[in-house]
Amino acid sequence: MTYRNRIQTSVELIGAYILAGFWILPLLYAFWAAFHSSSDAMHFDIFSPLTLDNFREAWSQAPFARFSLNTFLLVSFILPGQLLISTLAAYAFVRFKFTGANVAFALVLVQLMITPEILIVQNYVTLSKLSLVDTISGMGLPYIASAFCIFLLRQAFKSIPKELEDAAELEGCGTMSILWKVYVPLATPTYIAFSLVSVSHHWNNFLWPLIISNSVETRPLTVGLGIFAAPESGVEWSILSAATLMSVAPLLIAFLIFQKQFVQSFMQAGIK
Amino acid sequence: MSAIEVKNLSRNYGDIDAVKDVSFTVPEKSFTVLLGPSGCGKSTILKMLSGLEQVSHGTINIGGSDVTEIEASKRGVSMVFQSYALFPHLNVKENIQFGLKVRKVPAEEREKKVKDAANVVGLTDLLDRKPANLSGGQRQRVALARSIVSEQSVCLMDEPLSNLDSKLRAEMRDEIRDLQKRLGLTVVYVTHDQVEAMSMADQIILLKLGEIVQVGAPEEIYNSPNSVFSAQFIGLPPMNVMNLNDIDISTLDSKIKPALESSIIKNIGIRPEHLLFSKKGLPVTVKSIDYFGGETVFKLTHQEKDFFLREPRQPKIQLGDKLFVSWNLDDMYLFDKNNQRLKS
Repeated sequence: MTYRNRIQTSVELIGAYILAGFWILPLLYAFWAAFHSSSDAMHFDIFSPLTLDNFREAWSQAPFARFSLNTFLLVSFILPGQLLISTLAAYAFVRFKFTGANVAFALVLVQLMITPEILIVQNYVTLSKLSLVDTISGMGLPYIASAFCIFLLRQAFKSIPKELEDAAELEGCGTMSILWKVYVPLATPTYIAFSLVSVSHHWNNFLWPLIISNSVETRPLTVGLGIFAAPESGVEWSILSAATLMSVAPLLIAFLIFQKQFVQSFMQAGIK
Repeated sequence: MSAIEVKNLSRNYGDIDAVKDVSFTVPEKSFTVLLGPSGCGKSTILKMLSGLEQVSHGTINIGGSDVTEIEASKRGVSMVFQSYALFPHLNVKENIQFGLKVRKVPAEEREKKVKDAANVVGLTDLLDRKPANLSGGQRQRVALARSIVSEQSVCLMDEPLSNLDSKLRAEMRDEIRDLQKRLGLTVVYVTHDQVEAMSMADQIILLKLGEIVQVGAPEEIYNSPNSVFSAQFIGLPPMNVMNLNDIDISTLDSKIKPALESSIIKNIGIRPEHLLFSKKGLPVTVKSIDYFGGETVFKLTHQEKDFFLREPRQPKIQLGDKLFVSWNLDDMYLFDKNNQRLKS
């Protein structure tokens, strides 16, 4: 029995390694191509000379500094907005009994099922009426009331025992200070988990920023990268790889540093 | 002067009356226990005293002023919760000073108060720990310290010992009682455990289905219960209550027989320690024997009804023995058809 178990475990392990290998291949190739000249990138010769020219080239062809700043501004506009709005909404759903609470929550759940892509045209129309086309806030606004975040926080808040709230109330906490001193700190794992998902999603988001942004001043990294991939000019794989690496580097480094916390916070937040 | 005065207090949830027209007073610096089986409304009463639960009817007076409509934090009460309600993200010190911070007590004063409170409950070495790294008894102490530090004269406790093992429970019982005396607190304590009530209370308020059954000192309720319910709820094993139809009256002692002649008597009650093995009397069979060292409890049957006899010695009696029991006239309680006590 234990022998069979061991075989099963090793088969599963080998399978996992193979899958992981396939998954990381594109990234490995990007690394390879970024540090070699265009011709060497296609020949996998271990001894071909390393070069940083591609990075220099990519950097000079497009305003990457500006794109990075735009992406950073976008993410740091969306995330705090999402956390603020969702915290207040989730708190209202958990703590207050108001007429239509169930209908309102059902609407939030329905929103979870709608992919944002369906709404692209409608969102564009709305934002142009607000004269927010080609602005960072326009790019972030459609995502700011995240149903996913409201849902996650509501679940986290619901699991907080009523007695803690009673104790805080008895000590003189008001409604907002109970939220701030009891609910928010106790839901920290959920906040971290959601923040990671949100940041990586919006860092990588392409379609909506492509549509809403028209100028260098607002274009985020993903859209800027699109220039390199434009097929009519012929794809320069080495330069494209270098540019891609520059775009994903912040996230990649952050993930490597925080991978333990990343996994843990997901376990604690109950999403697997 | 009474610290708490409750008048005609009621609480209903829709059609269900959790608490029905309850009135009582709690003397200052006394230890009052709200005792009753689960669902008797004792926790609801405590929550209403604290202000965490709305009052349907009636008034609550704490320290001479009507607080019925006043919010929880302004009533001058502190509370110890059944689950202790410690904040898991804060360490012991921060838990204790939580309320002081909310009330914006200056840092120096806060420091001193926390130190004093931690000292009183013996937590001085554990101030930096998180609640998750404390034992049940230590958590209980943190909850007590948090209540002490608030310096409210009234402390409400909701089954604070129910999550502890029996040895620790006995220890904490003494400690809480001792604290109450030392700090001169007025304590209202909710429990379903009659041992806790008997050993700690100055006054027991016995509740059943949202109504008060009896109020009195522990010995008063034990020695003169006003109904079958109080007689059986207090004492372990409970008082033997026998329907007169179920026993063979002709076998009883000639001194007892005349006392049972009145037609309004429905049940008689005798405490297990007042039943005596004797040469003649009620014929019984020994059904089980529980030996506790200091005492032995016999379960006896008479005409298929079970009752208990408690003996401080260890008589040579075997299972299945057929014996006789009797009792003194003074030790017999009489109850009418509504299970109310008849005073002789």
